[in-house]
Amino acid sequence: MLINAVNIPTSFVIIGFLYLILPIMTWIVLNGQRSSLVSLWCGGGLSIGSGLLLISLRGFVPDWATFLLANLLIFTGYLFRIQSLRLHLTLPSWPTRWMVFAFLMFIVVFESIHLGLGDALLRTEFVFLYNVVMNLMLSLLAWRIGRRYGSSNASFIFVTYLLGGLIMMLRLIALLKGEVQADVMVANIMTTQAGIIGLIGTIATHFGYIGMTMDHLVKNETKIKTDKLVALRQSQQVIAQLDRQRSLGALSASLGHEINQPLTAILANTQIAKRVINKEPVNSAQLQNLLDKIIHNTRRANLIIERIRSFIKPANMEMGIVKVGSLVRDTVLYIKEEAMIHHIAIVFDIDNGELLVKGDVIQLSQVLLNLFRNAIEVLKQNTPRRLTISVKHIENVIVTTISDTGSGLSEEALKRAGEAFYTTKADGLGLGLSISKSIIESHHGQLLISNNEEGGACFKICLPALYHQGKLELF
Amino acid sequence: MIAVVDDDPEIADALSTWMGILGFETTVHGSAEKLLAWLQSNGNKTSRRVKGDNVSSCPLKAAILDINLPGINGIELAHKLRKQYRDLPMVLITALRHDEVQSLGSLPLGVSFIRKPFDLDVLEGILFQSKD
Repeated sequence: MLINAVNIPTSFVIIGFLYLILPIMTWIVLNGQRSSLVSLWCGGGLSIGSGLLLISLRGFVPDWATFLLANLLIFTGYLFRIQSLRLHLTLPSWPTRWMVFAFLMFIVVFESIHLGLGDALLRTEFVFLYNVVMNLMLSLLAWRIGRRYGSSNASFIFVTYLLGGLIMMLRLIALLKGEVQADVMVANIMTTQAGIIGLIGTIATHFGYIGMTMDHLVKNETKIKTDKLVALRQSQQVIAQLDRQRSLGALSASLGHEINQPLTAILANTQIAKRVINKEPVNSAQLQNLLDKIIHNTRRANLIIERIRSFIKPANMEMGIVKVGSLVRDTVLYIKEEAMIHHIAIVFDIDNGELLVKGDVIQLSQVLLNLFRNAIEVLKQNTPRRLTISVKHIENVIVTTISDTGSGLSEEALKRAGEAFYTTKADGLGLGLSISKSIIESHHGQLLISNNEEGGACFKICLPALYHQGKLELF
Repeated sequence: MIAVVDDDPEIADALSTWMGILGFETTVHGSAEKLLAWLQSNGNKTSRRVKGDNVSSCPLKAAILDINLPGINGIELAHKLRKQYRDLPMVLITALRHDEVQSLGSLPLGVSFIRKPFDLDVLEGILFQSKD
């Protein structure tokens, strides 16, 4: 009954039309993602659809069209779809010359069977054979996609092509055994099953494909976003490191001078000690005193080395109690030499008393150093050359002001200063201030940038005072 | 009396001790301005006119001057001292590189500099070579 219910040519027409409509629909749904993968899939569908329609018109169109051309179209459609799924798996697509070769070989084999041997049964067997192979290949590729990307939609394609392949295989076996007729247009249980599965399968594969591509897309987008984030984070680290190294290069001269001071004292005291020891009677008290000085200066040298080391090492925040006044004075040591060479006067105005904040001493000194170095760069090109550094305890805030007598900042620079990659320096990266800003903000403070009334730029580092109203402020 | 000007008290102290061992008294200062002020108040006491010449007599036998000083730097100080005391042996000490010293200006005639850290014997040689 079922056999009679399904008219074979009709089902070919329906499936053929579905194969024309669904690829176009897929193409429209995946609008915006019309990559070569989708084009190959949809193009392949159109090709198969045309082939199926030509088969359904058997008897109405010339034999060459319903046999050779129809099968060529279907075969090419399969090749395109395989190509598409291979690309989904990021496998290399088959080279075009292979495709052309397969295409030509198909014609040769098909026509030699048809014209050469005149064997219609063998030709049908060949048609089923390539259908089995192509269906199983597509099903295998879809299975791999499903496994790799965890896409359940790919399993629609997998199941459909697997069933299609198996039914064709059974049909082929039956053909080989001589159990069924070669003509596909004659209804029997096999062609009927193939028709039904073809109908459902056609719809399933196309919806499966849309779903799979969407899954893939979403995953890809997420992956791209994650990759971008990771890359950004890495580049930020690299840039921070670069910036540190760049500053370090500029600082190394200063640090070199710095370390020579205790070394000079050590060398002098050692030489004096040698003289004292050679003089009878040995003044052991003086000798003791000299050795103490040598020890003290060795420790001093070691402290300087530690400072350099902590500057090179990308450190995590290590919060502690920071004496801002001393930190400012200590950090100025790094730029003292440079300031002197360029005749820049450094004026301090530091409040008495404890100017304490909670923070990372290394990060805060980096901020100070950055602001000092910026000021020196500007002052080099201006006169008068004065750098005023004040630290004030104003209400509950410790305000460190770094003010120069340079040319000040333009309106645009005032607006954009502190923005990453914005720089007015020819060789600048535009990161110093933005890094400084984020360091101060991570200390619950603020970095304010303005111009002085009398000219020159003014940077204010505002940090919450550690003790106020007699209570320890924790943040 | 030997003048030692260095803003690093550790170095100033070591140089002063060493001069003491050599049998000299020292006057130690942390800046050029302080030495100039000291000379102002101590120099006049010993200044005298020699055969109508306007050269002030120097209370110092020699001066060891650091270049990198707050305010007036060591080279400027050496120029000022040279103007006032033609024969005062001076030596500049510095942690600066050669080119950095040059960028600060030329040194007064007969004054050389040695880089930190230095050998005391070398410093002694330069400082007292004119006397030998």
